[in-house]
Amino acid sequence: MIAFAIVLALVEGCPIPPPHETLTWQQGYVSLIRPVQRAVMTPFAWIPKRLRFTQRFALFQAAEPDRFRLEIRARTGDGTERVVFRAGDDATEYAALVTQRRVRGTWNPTNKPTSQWVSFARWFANRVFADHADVQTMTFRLERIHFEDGTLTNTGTYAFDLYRSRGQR
Amino acid sequence: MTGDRMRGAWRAWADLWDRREDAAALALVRIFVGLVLVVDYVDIWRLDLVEAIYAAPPDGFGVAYDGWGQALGPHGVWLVALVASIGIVTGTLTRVSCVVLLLASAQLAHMSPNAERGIDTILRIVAGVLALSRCHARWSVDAFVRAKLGRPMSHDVPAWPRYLLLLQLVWIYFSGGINKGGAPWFPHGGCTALANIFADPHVARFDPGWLEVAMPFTRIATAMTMLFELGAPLYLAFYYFDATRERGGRLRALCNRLRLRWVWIAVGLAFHLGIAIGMRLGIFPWGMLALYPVLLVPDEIRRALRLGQRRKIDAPANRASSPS
Repeated sequence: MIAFAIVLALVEGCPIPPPHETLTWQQGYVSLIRPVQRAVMTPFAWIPKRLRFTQRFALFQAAEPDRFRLEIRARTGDGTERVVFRAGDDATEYAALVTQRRVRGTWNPTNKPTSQWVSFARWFANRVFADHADVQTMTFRLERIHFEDGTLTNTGTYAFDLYRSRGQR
Repeated sequence: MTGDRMRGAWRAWADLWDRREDAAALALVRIFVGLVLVVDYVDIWRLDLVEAIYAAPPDGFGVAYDGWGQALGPHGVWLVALVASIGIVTGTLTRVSCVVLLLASAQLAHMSPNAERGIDTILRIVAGVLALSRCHARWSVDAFVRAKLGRPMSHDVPAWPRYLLLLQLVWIYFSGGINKGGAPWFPHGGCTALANIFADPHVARFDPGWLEVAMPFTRIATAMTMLFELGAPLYLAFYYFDATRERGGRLRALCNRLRLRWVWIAVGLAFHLGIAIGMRLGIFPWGMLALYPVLLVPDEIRRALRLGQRRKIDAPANRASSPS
């Protein structure tokens, strides 16, 4: 029983790249392993799915020098703009909230935004609108940054911009 | 001959998983893992984030999920997970607590998938293994109650859950190593991965200014991380050599003389403490370190326990100070 569980875990956790990331030289062995993995896991697939298990672990899989920095700005009715949150600046009002590890997981992008990015922006904007009666619009954006030879460069270009206005559904 | 060998191998395998040992290592894992979980769940409540993380829009930024958690709502499922975590720390209805934690944590993961990190998966797996173990045979309310009822629990428990957790720990590191794909983790990419992570404002604890000076050290640390993760299966050999040191063999003697098992553990400790100091990854380093008692040979824990008891006996009794 224990041996069976170990074998099953190894099959599930077998480190083969997903189909869209398979390199040419990997295609040979991946095309052999993947059908076996699928066939073995079919009767047991419900276990990792329901209990949210996996034996594939990756911490900082890529760690590329091109990263993002979240910036959230608020604009008041008279056009004044202020930074509500900027990653790396703990002095901002909402730093503890936004950087909580689970909250960060919902907005921290890979090379694309997370599936909860829009929901997060909507919730956070409503929270700021409730806390600050003068704020009318909110901007959420991720600045592209680059790190090389010990120096961090802010590129001044942004990605995944979102805008929320007071009263917007 | 082959049949005999097969039978011998099968017997050795069955004997391995049938061994018994003191419950101390598993009890320590139970307590540390439970503590990490309690701190994590309390942190969400402290920041008033339960509803935000787990409720579907517009109340929060979770996702609509049609599970049993729906009936309890975000606060209900969170509370169930917290109570189960307390049950795990204290060893109260331990097996039930472990199963409940596993189910509640999985439910929370469904309710907000991106709020879920690798460490949550790991701790769920650990809870599942602990549910099947006798980790409550020591330092638990269950053991206390059983002793009061005149049916004390034996400290001698099946060792296989600890072996399984040991394998799991080694696999986590190895899997982490082989799933790393970016060039910065390797010499051809300059081993700049750790510097890149330490400079990432989303996770870095300090301003990246210090990296200008420390770049060479971070390159060495990156290479060490890869060696540590990819070499994790070697720990099983080091452990085996240490546990069977009475047997001969040059390799065994060399590994034991160089204390490679302890070197590996020390690198692991440094790795996680480095993460805890330099990055804001929440419970990840602590959750991993909570599993480290399974790396110890039972004799080492027994010796530590005996040493603790001897110190208690040797210590002079506290006397009330004289009023004069």
